[in-house]
Amino acid sequence: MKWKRFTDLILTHAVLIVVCFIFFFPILWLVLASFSRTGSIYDLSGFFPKAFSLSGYQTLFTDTQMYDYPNWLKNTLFVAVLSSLLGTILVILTAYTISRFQFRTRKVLMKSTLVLSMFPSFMGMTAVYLLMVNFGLINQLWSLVLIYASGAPMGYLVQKGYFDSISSSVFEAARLDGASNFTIFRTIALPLSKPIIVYTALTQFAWPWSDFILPNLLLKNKDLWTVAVGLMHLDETQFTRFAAGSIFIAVPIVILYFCLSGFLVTGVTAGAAKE
Amino acid sequence: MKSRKRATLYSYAWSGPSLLLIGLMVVFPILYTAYISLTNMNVYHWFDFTIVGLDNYIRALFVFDSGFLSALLATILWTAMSMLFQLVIAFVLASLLNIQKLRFRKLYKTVLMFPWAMPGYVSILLWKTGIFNSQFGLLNQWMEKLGLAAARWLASDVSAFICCSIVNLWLALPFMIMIMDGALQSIDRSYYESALLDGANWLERTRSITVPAIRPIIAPAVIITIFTTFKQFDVVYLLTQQAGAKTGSGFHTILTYAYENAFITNNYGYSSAISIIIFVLLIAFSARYQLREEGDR
Repeated sequence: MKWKRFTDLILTHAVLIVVCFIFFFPILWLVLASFSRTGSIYDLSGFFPKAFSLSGYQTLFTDTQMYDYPNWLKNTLFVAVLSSLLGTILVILTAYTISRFQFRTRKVLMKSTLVLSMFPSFMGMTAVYLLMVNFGLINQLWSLVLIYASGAPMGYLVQKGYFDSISSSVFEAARLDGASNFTIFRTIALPLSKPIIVYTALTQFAWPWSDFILPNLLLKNKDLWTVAVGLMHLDETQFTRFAAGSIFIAVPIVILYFCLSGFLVTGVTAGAAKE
Repeated sequence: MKSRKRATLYSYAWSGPSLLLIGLMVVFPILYTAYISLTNMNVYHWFDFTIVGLDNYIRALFVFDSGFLSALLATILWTAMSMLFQLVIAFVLASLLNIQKLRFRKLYKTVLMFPWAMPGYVSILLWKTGIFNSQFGLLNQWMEKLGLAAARWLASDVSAFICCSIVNLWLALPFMIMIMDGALQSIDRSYYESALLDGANWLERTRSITVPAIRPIIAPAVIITIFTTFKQFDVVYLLTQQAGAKTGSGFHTILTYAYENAFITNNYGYSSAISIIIFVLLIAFSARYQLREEGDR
């Protein structure tokens, strides 16, 4: 009996180690490749690069003739930060409104956002393209910001759930004291909702930061490329550059996901479990 | 009464900007797509397109050669396979992680989360250029070492389907494992103890305790995953369809199929019809799920 338990344990660890290896080795390989001295994938023999150096990172930021990585990074940051800012404001306001106020079209609005979110969003790009032409926003990073920010309030459920959980007696008390709606929002709701604001801002940042579909469709001008578009244009001869560029874009997101992991998982289940 | 009216006013004022933007960037495009789907807008008729009625829909749904139906079938197969593998593998791994007094549990969990935390396109491009690359990819280097012929992994339909499935599994499993893990942890240990006293074996315990207990907990996450798998675009597009780097595989999910018709061959009318069909399919599916859920309550 004891012997069987021991072999079981060995087997469990063996399976877990193998699986962990499968899950982790592409990432490990990416890190190793980013420190390869020569740029092309053809010079990697098997798993390890032949020689290590930091030149991948160096060329990434200095050799910008063909591939202007610093500029891509700047564009990505611009889009992600502004989308996050704008998107967060919109989501918080929408979620707060739907959570706190009863108004006639409330149910209809909730139902229709659910239905609208079924549409494969980038397939509406022909129409969005037309709109952008009319606004004079073609080939401008602002067009992306606008699209991301307007997609944001569609996912208000997690935030609404949070506002729902704040006891309404706090609000009633303030109302009896004669506080206006805006005062209540500013002095009661906002201070209580710091965690959800941080959560929203970070998730709204992560989406544009790691999206490639929209930038690839809308940014035709090479100066406007985001990192995603740029990395898509690097082939296997530029593998070290690709690896180093990927590390830079991945590290912030990986850290962010690890910090938020508990939140994100419960957010998905809780948000979906409610209506 | 008066305060109620004011509340209504506030509601609209505060959600106004969001509603305006949603109307502009979400509702209008859908309506416009519905309109375009009734026309013959394409490369040859950019501005002088005419209304052709339901022709595009008929072509998609009743002409098998158009490729939509085969893409739809492939997508359904793809979704079913992915979900089956995801649920089974995640269940096994989560069970292993929940063995009592397991050492290094935290370490395993952290490592298993990595693919989920990476930006998706980075991982997919890495698999493409690094691992499946037909000349010097890692996979072919290993094949050579084993004395086997190098293969063009992404070139044929079936192997592209398998490669895409593997990458998708790699990307999606961590989330499923986390959900399963959370669900398993919520089961009361005492059930198992009394079942063990009754002499129930592992299979019986799994069937009558574990599965019923975790089902309601993982259901929302599973539904969401079914949706994202069905709407999968990134993996298939980046691995096989990327403009200028097509691998020659004919495997399409409905979304890559719609994308190709819209932005590569510029069949806007036809691709719009496909978008609307996808839209309706997804609404129908979710309506059915919602009804079932309401019935359960």
